[in-house]
Amino acid sequence: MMSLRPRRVRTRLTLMYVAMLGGVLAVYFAGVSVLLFWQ
Amino acid sequence: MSGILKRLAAEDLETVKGLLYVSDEGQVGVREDYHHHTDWKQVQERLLEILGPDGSILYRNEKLGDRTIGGAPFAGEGEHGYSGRSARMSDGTPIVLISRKYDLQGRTILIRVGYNQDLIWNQLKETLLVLLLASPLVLAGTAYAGYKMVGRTLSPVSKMAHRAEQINSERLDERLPIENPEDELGHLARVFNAMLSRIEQSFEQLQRFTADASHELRTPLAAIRSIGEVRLQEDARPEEYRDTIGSMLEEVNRLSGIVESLLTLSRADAGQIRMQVSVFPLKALVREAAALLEVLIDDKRVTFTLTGDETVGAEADRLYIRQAVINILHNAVKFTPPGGSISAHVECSSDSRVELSVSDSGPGISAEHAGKVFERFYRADEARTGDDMGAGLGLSIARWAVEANDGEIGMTNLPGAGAKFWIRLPAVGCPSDRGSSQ
Repeated sequence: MMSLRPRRVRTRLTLMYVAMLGGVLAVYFAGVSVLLFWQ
Repeated sequence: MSGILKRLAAEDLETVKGLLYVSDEGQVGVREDYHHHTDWKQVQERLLEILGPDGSILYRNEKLGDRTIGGAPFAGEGEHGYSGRSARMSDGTPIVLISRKYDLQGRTILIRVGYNQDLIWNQLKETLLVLLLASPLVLAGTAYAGYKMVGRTLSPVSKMAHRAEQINSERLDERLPIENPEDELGHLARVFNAMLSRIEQSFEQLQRFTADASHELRTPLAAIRSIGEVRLQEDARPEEYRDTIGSMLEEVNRLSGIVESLLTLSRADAGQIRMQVSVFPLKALVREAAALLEVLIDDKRVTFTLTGDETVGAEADRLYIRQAVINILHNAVKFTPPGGSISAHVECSSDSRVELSVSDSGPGISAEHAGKVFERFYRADEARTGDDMGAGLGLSIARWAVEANDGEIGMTNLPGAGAKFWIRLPAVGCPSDRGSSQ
């Protein structure tokens, strides 16, 4: 079975950065949305 | 009501109050010609209604039109600060209503500002939609910037890999590039460079050892060959043949000694020699070694003296320490001029180890050579390669034997002339507090 993990460290680190930022943004959006709709 | 909305409403109410006037006819109005006022446009967007104390409508803005907001004022509305509530306009539109009573030129008025909830919700939704739509762009931008940044961060690794590919046995002097010695990659490069230095050193040592060994083995072989060839060129008497064979045997003995030393060092390097540790009196061992060299000592008329503590024992492999002591004594005999003196002394050192020091009255060793005397095939004077000078392996073997027994070995030049070689070994019988008592 072919692994989906990128072989190059550069690609892995980039994906990790993007995933982290995406996660932070998602949490931020969720927090802002909850706060605004609650008010 | 949220703090944000309350603050917004308070600002709006204060703005409206500041723009109010009472006409000569007693009508309340808002100065709509005040267009340069920064908040005017903002107020225009609100639903604005001004009521009298009896609930009569004194003013309503164009946005409100014919509609009313909130109906008649309830008791105490806006009297004690801002009153806020959700309400519906006369056409059923849901709003958030903020009101407060003010005094305008002696008249009490109630200012109401309404915010359309649908508009608020729509604005929120629009804001979130924009954020959501912008997210992929932000993530794509981040991915691009991250890719570039990571590439730049990892560029030293690529350079190091490129350089490492060029390093082989012919180019061991090459080193990995270090862009920033302070960061982790710089540390990695430094560690690799240190490792390369060690490998290069070992490689050079091995090459030198091979060259030296070849040279040392070739010399007696060449001597045997030349002695044999010279003798065969002419007829000789049996006694002369016997002398020739004797000379050849001397060279064979020398050859055997070199091969045996090389074999010992080779086995030591390969870790094939296991130490059989026992406790033995060191002074008795030195006496035994000196007895073996008695012929050489007497031949050079050298005075040998042995002093020190008879009872102190060394805890080591007796066989190899004996070899080390013989080599050190033999070295001293070789470099001591005829009629000179050699003294050996055994005592407990300050670190509770047993120390043997061998001092000779030879020429000593220059500072240039002092650090190298224990290297293999190293001779302080390369020109002296005669029978009595050996192959330069004796002190190497002595160092290996002492260090393999958890000991130390070294040399110092004596003031005036001569050299002093010393070894320290784990001891039995040395007082442990000797150092502190002195």
